[in-house]
Amino acid sequence: MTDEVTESPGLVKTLRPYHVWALGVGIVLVGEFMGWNFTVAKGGILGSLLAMLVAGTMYTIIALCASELGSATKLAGGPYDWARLFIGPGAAASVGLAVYMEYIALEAADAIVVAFIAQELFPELQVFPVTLLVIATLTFINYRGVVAALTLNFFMTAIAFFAIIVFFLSGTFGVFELHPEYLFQGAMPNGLIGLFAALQFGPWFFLGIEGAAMTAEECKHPSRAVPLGQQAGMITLLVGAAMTLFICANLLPSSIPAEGLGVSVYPLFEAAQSTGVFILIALLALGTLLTCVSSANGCVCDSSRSWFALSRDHFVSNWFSSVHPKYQTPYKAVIFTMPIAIAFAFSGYLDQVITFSIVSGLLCYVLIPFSLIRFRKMFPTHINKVRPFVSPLQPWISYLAMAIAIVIMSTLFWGYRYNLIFALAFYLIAYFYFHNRNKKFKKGLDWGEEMGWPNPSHHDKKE
Amino acid sequence: MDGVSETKYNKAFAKDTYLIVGAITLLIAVQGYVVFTVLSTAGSVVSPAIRAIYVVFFVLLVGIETMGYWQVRHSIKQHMFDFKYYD
Repeated sequence: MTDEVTESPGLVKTLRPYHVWALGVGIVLVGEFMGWNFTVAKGGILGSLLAMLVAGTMYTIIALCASELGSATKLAGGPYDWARLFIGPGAAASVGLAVYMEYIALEAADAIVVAFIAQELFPELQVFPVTLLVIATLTFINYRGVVAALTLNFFMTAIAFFAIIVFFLSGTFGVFELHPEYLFQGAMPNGLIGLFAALQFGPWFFLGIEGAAMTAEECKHPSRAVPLGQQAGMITLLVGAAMTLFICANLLPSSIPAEGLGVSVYPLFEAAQSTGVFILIALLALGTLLTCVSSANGCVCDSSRSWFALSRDHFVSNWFSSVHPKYQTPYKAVIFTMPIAIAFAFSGYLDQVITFSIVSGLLCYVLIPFSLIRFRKMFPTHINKVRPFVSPLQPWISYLAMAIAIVIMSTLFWGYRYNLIFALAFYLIAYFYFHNRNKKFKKGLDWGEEMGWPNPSHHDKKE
Repeated sequence: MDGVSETKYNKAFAKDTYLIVGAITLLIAVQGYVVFTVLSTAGSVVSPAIRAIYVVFFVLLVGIETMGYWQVRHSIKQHMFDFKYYD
């Protein structure tokens, strides 16, 4: 086999449900090792619990929508392709860009954190070269093949999740002493407004789980692998979030918002340190490191697929849509993640980068359920060829998810007003840019040829 | 069911069912334990109306996920022979 490249857009179809799980959980689990605890700084333990339940409800619905849309369309672009097929080109390209930005900003943040952890372990190391090394290594792994990249993610994610389970069970079965009084003392330091403000950090527990469905084009049996793997991933995160909140709230004090759990950088690791049990400290340190690497690894995979899909439809240069004939990866789109991630990483504004990632994600969480509502209207009959997995209680739960996403976005006005305005303006400009660009390459959508589906219901009515 | 071993398929489908039932049980047990423990310890600082919001979202979260994952099982059962899931 030669190393020649081809323009043929055929990605290898080898992934199984555990790869889908590994991609989804691998990207997100880092949020349970760090970041979620800002909910405690805003709203105390009760604020954090409410944020977990409200965001958890929204993400459960988003994951169900993504499972139905992913197993139906079987396309690598995920939210981009769903919006393209069921909403329109301008919205689709904006969502594609939002997904790209969401994951690439997260990759940059993860790489920086890995570098900081490495520096804490080995003080002679410098953050700049280690960050570069992490980004370059993960780009190379993803260039070589999606199976290797996601198998690696599976093992790293499994170890990190195992660490959370062991820590939780050790606490509940009395291996070390818990402090239930911390729950009461730090229950609600900022009153009812704190409960509401805490919602803005709720997405940290689950941010990015919808990306698991972006493996659909590379799955052996997407109509089984995507729903089975993605829902297993969602339950993993819900279980992990509850365990993390419980164990950290019982070990780190939170009665003063500016101290303790609410401002901890690595809350699970610091909670383990407070127990004084060496094996738990080592396990949680390893979990923190592995989950950052697996998150960055999954982000390279998802952001490159989104860019690949945008390129395939001429929204960005068609040069990025090449598939490597040997490794069958979108290698140019994969390589292109590197300079952008490096630019984000060295912008020097880690919190701004993460906030931009969250706003991009929330924009997707309005448009993914909307895509599903449109999909159900255009193809109301549940035939196997179109919709192999039918999510329950639709479209009502989609409306609920959109409402929650808008409420969470509105809470960003507390502290991140300018980030929110900047991000929304950015995507508005992107919408008009892509809308105009689409006119240049406009082609009709042949449902039979592209998707193997019958025409949607509004076509029939016209006829 | 051309060339498909029904026994093999039923065994593989049973494994998927165990995974789904196990995951749902774990979800209900862990989320239920944590929400109940935190609310029973710290919930007295808020009014019963606010506590009801927690209960509503807990029921929504667990209920939707349980129905959704059970629907995944139904979908696999319905299509496993047509799409040759376990070959």
